[in-house]
Amino acid sequence: MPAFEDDPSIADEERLFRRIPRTWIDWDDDGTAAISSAAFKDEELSINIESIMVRDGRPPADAIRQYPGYGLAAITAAHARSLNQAVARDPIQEEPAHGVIYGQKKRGGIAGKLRDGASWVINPPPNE
Amino acid sequence: MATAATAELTLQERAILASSASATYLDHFSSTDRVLVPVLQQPVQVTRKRTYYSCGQAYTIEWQDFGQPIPAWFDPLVQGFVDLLTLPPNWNSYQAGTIDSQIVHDAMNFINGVLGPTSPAPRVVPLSSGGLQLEWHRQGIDLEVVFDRGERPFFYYKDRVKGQESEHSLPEDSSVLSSIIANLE
Repeated sequence: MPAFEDDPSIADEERLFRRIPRTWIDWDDDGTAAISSAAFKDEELSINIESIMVRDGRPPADAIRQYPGYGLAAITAAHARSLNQAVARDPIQEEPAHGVIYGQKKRGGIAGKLRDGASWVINPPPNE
Repeated sequence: MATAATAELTLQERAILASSASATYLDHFSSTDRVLVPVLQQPVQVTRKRTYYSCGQAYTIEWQDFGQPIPAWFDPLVQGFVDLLTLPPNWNSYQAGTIDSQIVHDAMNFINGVLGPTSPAPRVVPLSSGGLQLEWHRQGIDLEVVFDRGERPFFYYKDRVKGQESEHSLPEDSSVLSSIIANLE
């Protein structure tokens, strides 16, 4: 039995936020920040569920408030599901909006395909 | 003339002996080369040393070679490896552990044997699991060489223009990897 099963109450259009540290960012010559697939390789990939943050009156920026230098990326639940991933709620004490994108990502380029569907919600500060 | 080949050591003939704080980087002739090269034409080995800094720590790489130019990829690659060794616990804010120094050592040794003198330098990227991956994104190609805990290394190749992708085991498909990297130059 998998550790997490897909939760159909999480809508396909739900945005799932992932914090992106500088070590996972590559700036190209014109200053565009590209995300490494390494950011999406965990079998149990921690994310914040946007609707829970909205319910609690928290803006997206709250997800990186304690992490200077980070960017915040989002993929949709539909995109994760299209790559055979389960999307589940997993609230924890320090983060009620915590959720998990669960499934194998290391092989078959899955992590890169998750990354390809990501967009910046909050751009990381420029590389110094 | 067999002597011409001896001046052009391939990177596969280098070996890196590294610890978390220092490394020895050693060139050597193959036994065949030793036989074929006249004694007077053998180049002289010299000891070389470079120091890299990350998060206040110094890492010295020491090696012997024949004074040949250092490839352009060498410094950014080694700096990338050193930067991984100084990542603190929870470096990704999701409880990632530190990067396994043995994996760094193995990756350095392996990629040193695959890159050519004019190869483009890969990015060295940490994995939450304690492993690492080397990445090239050029000319519509995504290439990732993955070294991870408890797994054999492999590489993933994607040609975004042709819509092709494939995954290969290492070291079995090292020659395929070398060929792909050569085409990225």
